[in-house]
Amino acid sequence: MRLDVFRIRQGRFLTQNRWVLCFTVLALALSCMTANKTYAQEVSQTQKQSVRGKVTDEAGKPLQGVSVTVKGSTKGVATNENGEFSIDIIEGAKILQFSYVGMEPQEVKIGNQKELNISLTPLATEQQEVVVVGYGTQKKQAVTGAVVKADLKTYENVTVNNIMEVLKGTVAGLNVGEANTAGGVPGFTIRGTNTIAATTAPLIVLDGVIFSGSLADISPSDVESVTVLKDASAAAVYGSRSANGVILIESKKGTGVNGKPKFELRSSYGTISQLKPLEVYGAQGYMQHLNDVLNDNGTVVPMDQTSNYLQLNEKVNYNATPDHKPTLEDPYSLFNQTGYNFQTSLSVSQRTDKMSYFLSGNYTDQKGVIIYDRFKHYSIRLNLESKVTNWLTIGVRSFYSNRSYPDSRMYGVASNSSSPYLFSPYADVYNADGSYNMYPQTTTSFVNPFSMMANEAYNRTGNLNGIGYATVKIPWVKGLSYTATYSKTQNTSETGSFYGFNTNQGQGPKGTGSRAYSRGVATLFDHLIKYNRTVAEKHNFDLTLLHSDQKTEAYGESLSASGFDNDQLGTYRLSAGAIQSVSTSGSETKSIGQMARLTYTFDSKYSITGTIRHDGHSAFSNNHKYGNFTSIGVNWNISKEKFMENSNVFNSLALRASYGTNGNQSIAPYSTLSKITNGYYYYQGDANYTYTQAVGSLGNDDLVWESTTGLNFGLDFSILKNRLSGSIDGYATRTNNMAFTLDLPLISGFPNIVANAGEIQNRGLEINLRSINITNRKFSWRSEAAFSLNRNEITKLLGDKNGDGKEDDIVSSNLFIGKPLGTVYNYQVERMWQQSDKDAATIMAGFQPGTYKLRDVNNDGKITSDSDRVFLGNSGANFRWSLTNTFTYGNWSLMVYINSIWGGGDYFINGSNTPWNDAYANRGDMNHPIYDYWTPGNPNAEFPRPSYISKASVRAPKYYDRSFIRLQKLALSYEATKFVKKYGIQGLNISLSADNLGTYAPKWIGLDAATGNGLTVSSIPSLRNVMVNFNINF
Amino acid sequence: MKKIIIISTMLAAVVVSSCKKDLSEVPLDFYTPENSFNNKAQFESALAGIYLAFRTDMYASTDAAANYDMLGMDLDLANVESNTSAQKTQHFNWATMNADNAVVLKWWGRLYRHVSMANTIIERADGPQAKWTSENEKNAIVGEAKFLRAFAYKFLANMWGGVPLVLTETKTPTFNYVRATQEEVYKQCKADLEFAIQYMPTIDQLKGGRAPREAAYHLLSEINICLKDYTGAIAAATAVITNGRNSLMTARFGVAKTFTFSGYDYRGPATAWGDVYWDLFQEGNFNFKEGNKEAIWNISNDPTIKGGNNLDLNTSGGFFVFDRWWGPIPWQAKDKSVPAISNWLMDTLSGRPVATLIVTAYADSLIWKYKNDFSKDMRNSEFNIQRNYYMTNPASPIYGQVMTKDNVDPTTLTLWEPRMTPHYKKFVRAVPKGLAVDATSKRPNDNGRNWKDWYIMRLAETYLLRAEANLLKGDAAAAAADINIVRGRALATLVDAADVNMDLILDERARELYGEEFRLSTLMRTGKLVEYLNKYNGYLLANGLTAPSKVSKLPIPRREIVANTGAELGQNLGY
Repeated sequence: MRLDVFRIRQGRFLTQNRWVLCFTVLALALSCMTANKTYAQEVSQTQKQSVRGKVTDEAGKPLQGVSVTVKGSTKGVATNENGEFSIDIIEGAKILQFSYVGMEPQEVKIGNQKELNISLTPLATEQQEVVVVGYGTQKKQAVTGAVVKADLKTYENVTVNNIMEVLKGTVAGLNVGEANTAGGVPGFTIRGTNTIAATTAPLIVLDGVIFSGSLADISPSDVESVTVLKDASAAAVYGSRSANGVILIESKKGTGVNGKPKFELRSSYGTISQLKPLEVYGAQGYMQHLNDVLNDNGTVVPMDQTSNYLQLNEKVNYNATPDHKPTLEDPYSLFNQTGYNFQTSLSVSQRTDKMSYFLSGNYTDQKGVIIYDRFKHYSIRLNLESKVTNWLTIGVRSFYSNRSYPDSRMYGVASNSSSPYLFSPYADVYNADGSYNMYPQTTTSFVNPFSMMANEAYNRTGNLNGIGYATVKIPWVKGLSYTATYSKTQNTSETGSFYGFNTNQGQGPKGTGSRAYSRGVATLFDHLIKYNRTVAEKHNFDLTLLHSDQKTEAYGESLSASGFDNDQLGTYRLSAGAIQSVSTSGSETKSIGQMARLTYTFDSKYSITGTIRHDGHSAFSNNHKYGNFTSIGVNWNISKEKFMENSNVFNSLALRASYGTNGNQSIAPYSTLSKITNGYYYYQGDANYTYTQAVGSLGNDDLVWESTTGLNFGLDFSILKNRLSGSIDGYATRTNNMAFTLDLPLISGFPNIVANAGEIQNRGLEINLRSINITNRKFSWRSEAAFSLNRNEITKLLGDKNGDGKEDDIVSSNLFIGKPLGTVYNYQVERMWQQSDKDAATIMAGFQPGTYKLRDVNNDGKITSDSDRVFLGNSGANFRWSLTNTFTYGNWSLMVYINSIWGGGDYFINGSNTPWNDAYANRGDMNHPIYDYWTPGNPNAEFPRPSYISKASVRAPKYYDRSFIRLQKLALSYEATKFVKKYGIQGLNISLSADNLGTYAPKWIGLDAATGNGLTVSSIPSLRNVMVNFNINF
Repeated sequence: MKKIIIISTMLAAVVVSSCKKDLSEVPLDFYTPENSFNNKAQFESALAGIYLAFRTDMYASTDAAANYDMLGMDLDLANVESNTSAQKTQHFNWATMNADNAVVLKWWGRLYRHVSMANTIIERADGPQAKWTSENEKNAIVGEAKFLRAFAYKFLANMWGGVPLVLTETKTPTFNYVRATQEEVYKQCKADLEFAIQYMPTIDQLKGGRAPREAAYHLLSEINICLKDYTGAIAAATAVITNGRNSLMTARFGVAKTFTFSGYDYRGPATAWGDVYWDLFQEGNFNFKEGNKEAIWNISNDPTIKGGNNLDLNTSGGFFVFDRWWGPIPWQAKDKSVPAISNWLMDTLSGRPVATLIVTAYADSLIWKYKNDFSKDMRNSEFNIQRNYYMTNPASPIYGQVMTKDNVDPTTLTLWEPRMTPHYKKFVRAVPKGLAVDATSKRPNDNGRNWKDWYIMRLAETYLLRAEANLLKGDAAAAAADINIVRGRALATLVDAADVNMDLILDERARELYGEEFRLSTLMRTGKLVEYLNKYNGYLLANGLTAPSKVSKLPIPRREIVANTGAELGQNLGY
């Protein structure tokens, strides 16, 4: 009866779309055809000769997994863990090809040799690296913008909850937040905040297609690479929606050696625990707090009579035993559970010279630390590519993902009045019949959180994503190709909840429930023409032309009902409710984009890239449907210059500079149209109401999107035989045309309109470093460091309305000219007023001992909001840094990742942890997290008296510095392949990983500086995952 | 060949899809002005939208006393009381009135919103998309919209003087409004009303809640007074008075004609109860259709019918809830026994007021002492104003007795005035307990929130407007005759020409139209606001404050002056 009420019904997965079925059938058919052909060829070959050998790196360390193939055939093998190989070659074969990731490929003539020992050299410089950029790839030499390819290798054997955990701290300038619920995805931004009203979310591009969905849909084990486009020049190819930067994610393609399929199984299991639980008062503390609250409110009660002031239920329980044993030893523990985290993925992939595929399935099941917090996710992916002819390649990338969250959580349900922190140690959780007691400590102000939980609740999100593409290499013109990409994504969301007769929400209306279903469909059709040509050996031209059409549709239905005769069938029979309501919605947007990018490179030394994108979007206002976004960038590879040729220090050195403009699609669909609002009016004596209408909002034909113009300087270097490499970027951006709500004269009949006004500037510095500190046969130590800082400043708002010749601040929205976003403008707490101040009559009128003494800036003897508030600082970070060290010893590897956000000066402060903020501090009828409050006997307390709200005429929180250094991740892995090799297993890695192991936050009081959770009842604990990971491939 | 076909097909696809696409937005789940002003039914919807806005703004926007601030609240008729202590509070801040006053901004915005809704109808009726079967069909709609526009501009001109005259639909953001003169605004009202009078249907052809031609005449009479065209004003009022359809009710009528009641002491046998003035304010009697010949224009309140008002009475009061906010709180009084016994609520004729608005001394006694009519004037009868409160709890030793300062618990005395303030019964609905049903729980609702229709215009006021015009024209005898028609029905002593002056007219309005007329607008139109505030306003008197002369006109809200960046919007004198 107690827990089975809270069954969460899982839905069935239904494939509703025919086109995904088509993709799948097509994919399977192709894979059968091409696979058969390959095997047929192999069988017909005769075997004549055998060659053996060993492949090592420059240092002589054996290389495992080097692909050894016979040139001109599909015949190939891979080296074993000792770098050894043995290959049978047919008569007439002349050349063996050796290739390995990160190494220069080598071709070796066989001749009559039976044994070949080969040493591979690393790729000449990093400049040869190919970087994924928007709509294609470029050689690093030609990249002029701030483009960072994330290093996923560090996390190869470590399970993460989402791809953002990998990116956190590895890409300077990509700021990743914290998630503290099961299945939560942290928020993330690139560089500084450059908008007030519009979204700060970067554009996500998955496999070349603008992605509509959540990052939680993408399984980390399906990801091949992530590239972050940070500056205007890099992001310009995405025009009107790239002002917040772009994250390019590529999913895995078919791999495998020698055309053999490769299976990979990754499994991990671990516990999720609370980083630091918030402690609430136990029996003794509760009684003391009650006594203090009574005293504080003027009812002076001796401690031994405090129990008289308990509420009815509490008093009964208090007096039930002679030693006043509490009914709940630790009330808060009622709501805790031991969380777990289980993840598994299985993939099979194969690559032949004609086709490749990657097929994977992923499953995640997580339980958070607070009861009912549960997350489940599964996804399946199929990527397939086939070279149909030597000029035509076709492929498909598709996945389905389904996430399931609890719709009803212990936190966030209704209001804080149901927070588990409020339970008294003498509460009656249950009624005599075992059902939940709605008012566990008599007061009706505190409703039992259990009786606020839905009897049935679900929240499921689906994402069905299919991308089909065809690339034609135009046979008559060398270097010319054409790619058509068609993609469809369907997002679905199903939520439902039902509150039965015994719940707080359901008892009045006799049961209340709702179901909502919404779906979004995004369709994209891209045409891409590429032309790459080198003239006279030194002049390389790389041209990309794009035409893109996109359409998004969103539809929603929701049903709700109340007034049931029987509450047993829940949302499955809302039709039984006496009162029912229905609402539906729909919207559509269309976009058109054309883009041209030309890169010219001279002698691999100088590159210049120009990009122009012409974007049209239906949600833009009538007079501004289209906009142009341009950028230009240069790259000078200094290390190729003659004077650098003999440098012993620099292996590579390049300078980059770029300038350009991006947009933020800050305008919501239909928001520039004039809308009708409707209602009902009844004329006395009519048979029915009259439907009413009125023009509810003014159309806006002149609204344009926000645009950000930026300048970026970058330096890429590699020194000391590539021991130390990295990049340094500095940038300055200016965002203007910010969307603002502007007051209209009410004479027009309308209160306001969204208009373009205001300007924000951002400047920043980012450093990414990689070093190889020690490397020898047994032991290696590599480090990666990232550092970033950003300064932002509001330079313009709505203009000068008060006529003082200066731009006006908007104090009510906390926006100040010349100050950053997140500026804290409030009263300054100097100290606590004490009884001695009162005795000496020096206490300010309106204040009492135990309330904060606020700084009286203008010394007028009172505290007023317009003259006594000061700039206390900034909630933004001063700088962020992170350091990842990877130690390898033999088969052991240890990764230590430290992450830090640091304040300093007046940066990174927060006042919302102040416990009196949550209004329960001064209530004796509810419990509260333990905190150090002022009483006459505790004059040096950190926080004011419980009745601060009523005892101080003007109040302010104390602000605390959130600076922290955190041991974010620790992973120890062991390469155990040698033990299982004999069973045909190619690789086995076992690792133990843990996150959030320790935090140094010297100034913070409360749960977690990283999330900003303090000591208030709305604080949600942070999570720690400790996981065991298995990674097998065969 | 195959290559060529495939490649050409693909290139053709690029060319085809590159053609400029239409990026205009097609709304799916809402209507736009473009498809909403095409036929008569849609224009009727737009008119109903204005009536809905009027009802909401003037009477029922929230469950609060502030709904009634134009009807006499914090003026000369009703003081604002603090619920917990016998302390008068202020709503308008008359003594410190400035351009940031929120009440001023509220009414300025609401009235211009009404103007804007009317302008949209008037302009779009002549638009290319509007389809009409006849010119008359169109003119009836436009006429009604023009009447409603004039009604809004009347308030703007009375309360602010010359205001920006906006007569077309605002379709793009506009920031360069300039003020017209007060006379120009009144003249526009007159022109609108003269058009409206030609096409609006007469009252016998209409459903309740909708303005008839008579309302346009009534309003024209007031506008003509403002334009000092007293002959025109008399003619317009006469057009209503002599239309053959409207007349003052002089005999008991309607739903409560046979109502019986045992008296406010709830003892003794039930006997016949009420008089014709009391009948005028019984739900079911407000409309012309319901046999009320005196009605000209009402708002319609029927919360149990969709569109009749907010359906959820329990949580938000149904919003039109005069009886909750405007009246005494005698049911809180206790007797002297130990422990003291509370009175209880017998809400058959008392509603369940909470004494937020209580009558001023002016409305309590001054106006009723005139001509020694205190016990003669029907409008001051025990049916219409209750002044004695009885202990109605049978457990009390003083059951059935009038509660006095001598027989109540001393704690009752601290809130004596709000508890025992006279109760204008026109606000109360004669209903049994539990009339309303909560929309969510479907349970009877005892929270004292009831509703009734309410007069916007009533023939008695038409007579008083004609009296005013006659007085100002110099014909005091004709003015006295008009006033006497109203007083005669109330069985009050008749006045003669020598008695007639503007104060008499305002007093007579207070007696006859208490809680009905837009008192603020009337006092500002007649130039009497400052004088009356300083003579009768409870807050100013209690605190020894004076309303400055500048408040004879309200300030143009500062927000408007600041937002109007393209032109200067001059401020009224003194602000």
